[in-house]
Amino acid sequence: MPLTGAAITEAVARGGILIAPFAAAQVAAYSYDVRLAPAFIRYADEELDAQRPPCALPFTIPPTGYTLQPGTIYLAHTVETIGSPQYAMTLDALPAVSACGIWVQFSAPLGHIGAHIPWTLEIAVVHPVIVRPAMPIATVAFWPPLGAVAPYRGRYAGSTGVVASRLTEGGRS
Amino acid sequence: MILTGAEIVKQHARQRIIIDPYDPAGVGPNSYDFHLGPTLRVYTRFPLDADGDNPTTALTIPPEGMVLEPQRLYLGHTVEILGSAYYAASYAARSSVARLGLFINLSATLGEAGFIGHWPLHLVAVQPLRIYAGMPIGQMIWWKTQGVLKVGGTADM
Repeated sequence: MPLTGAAITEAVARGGILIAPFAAAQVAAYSYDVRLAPAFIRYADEELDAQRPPCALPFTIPPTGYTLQPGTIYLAHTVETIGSPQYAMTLDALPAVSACGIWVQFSAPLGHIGAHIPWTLEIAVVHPVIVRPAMPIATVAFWPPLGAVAPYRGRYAGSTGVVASRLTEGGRS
Repeated sequence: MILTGAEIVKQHARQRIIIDPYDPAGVGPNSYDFHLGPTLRVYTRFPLDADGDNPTTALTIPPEGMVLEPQRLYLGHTVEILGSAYYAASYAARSSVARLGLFINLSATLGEAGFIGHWPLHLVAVQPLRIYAGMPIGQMIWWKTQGVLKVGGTADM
């Protein structure tokens, strides 16, 4: 059962959920809305290889907006650093974003308990779409666990921005 | 409620969660990592018929890997037999795989109730991607249910 907005606000107040910056206006009925940061990457190579580290090309989208094109993987991240030592998280596109044909994750919605990082977004589009910095992009739900909790020590722990795939580095995702 | 890694280990030991082969290194904070099996199937007749039989042909991923073409559907499977009659299951790509532009399911994240077997993977790549048999590709997530579960027993044990 996901936490309600009131329960999310209460958990933030006692440190059970960490969201920075936190704004009460972004608390939804049973999730927290997150915004798009301007730092993006795409990959230098058209063809990628699961056994080869990808070459990432960082770029920044301007305040006037940037047109995303179909057939390209874009990685971006949330403005907010978000995480919890007590709850697992899932991230979904906001309905208005999905209605524009934008994916914000590629069948990977889960955020592990203990991860506390800007959330890297995997973005692709059905049609060309303009996106702008700080636009509401996704919403994060919080799920109470069953069983003993061990902290996240995966390969993205300590991330501070958008991070390319580290599949070839070993360790857990 | 989502099961923690410690709870997955506990329920695997009690055979209320089936994972075969099982490797403790695959246990994450809230999931168990699974790997890509060597056989893919692709459809051979288009358009597909959502209410009919769709012929496929099998492809074996060679040791040097296979490049998935963008916007083409490849049906794969997990190396592992996974499932539970006691918990609901959903499955997701590993974050590192998703960051290479690979979907492992297409908005069908919830497992078939009580299914125990090699899980079907619906692979679609955004850009061309070379994949390898046995690569870590996704993670199974189990959820405690509320109410009477028809496929097994109660999870309140």
